[in-house]
Amino acid sequence: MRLLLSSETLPGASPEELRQACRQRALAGLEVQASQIYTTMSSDAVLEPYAGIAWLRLPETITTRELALWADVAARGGVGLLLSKAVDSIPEGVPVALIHRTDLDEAREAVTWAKRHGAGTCWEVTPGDRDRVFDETFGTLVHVRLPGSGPEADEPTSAGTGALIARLAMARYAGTVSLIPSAGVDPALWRRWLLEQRGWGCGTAAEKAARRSAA
Amino acid sequence: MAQTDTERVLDVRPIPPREKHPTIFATFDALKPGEHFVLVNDHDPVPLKYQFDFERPGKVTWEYLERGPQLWRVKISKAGA
Repeated sequence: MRLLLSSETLPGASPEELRQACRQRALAGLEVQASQIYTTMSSDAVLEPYAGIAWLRLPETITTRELALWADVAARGGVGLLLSKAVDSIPEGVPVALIHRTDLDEAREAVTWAKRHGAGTCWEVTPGDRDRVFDETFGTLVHVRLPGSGPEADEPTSAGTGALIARLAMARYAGTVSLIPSAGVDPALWRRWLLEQRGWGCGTAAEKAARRSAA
Repeated sequence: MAQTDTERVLDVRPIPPREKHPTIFATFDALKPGEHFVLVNDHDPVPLKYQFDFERPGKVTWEYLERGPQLWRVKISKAGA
């Protein structure tokens, strides 16, 4: 399993800031929203500033021509494409995964689509029956979008993260997991956390604090 | 097709601190004798080793694969039957 950083954690950040955040937190690379990349460079060079990018997330509404253009960019950069909606045909020569949430029907549709097209699925973790969605999708799972980590450790969105990470580990998952912000979380929280020197949080310290507060 | 690895890798960094140790112990308990997983953390988890020694005496072997400065990787194995 490789941990990535989603560019959504640092809205408006430059490629250098994203790289710095990855270095600071020893993350393996980036998932970048296509809408954050605005360039007139040739397709060979579009992703050059985003060294370490693994996935490019495309907008919900995309034309066939736009998909082909992004596929060209992705293929030249050696990265995969994340689709928010199913398309009729997928580009060749580039990994593609369809995003679904923790919704069993949606997950099943994504798996069916992925198998038909020889693609993968990307699980955006939301509230719901995670165990059933895991069982349903693991065969096609190539990427997970995980909210509730890092600076959100004390937020309700973080609950159950341990169980999910453990299931991925026990299944020997070797795909990617990107850290994403939960809806409504103050972007300043992520910015501070990503660029500060403090650690991720210690389990031993958390247990001591829990014992103190229970006493 | 899902990408799978030969190793079970438990990267505990994204796990909220209050869930870290319960997750690690649950993962260990799910192993069969002779199996292992690789724990990834952002600091030396030596207090966890003491906790393992206390709570699972004689059942754990602990081998550092990487010792910082940013990442620690520890192979945690369950003793054979």
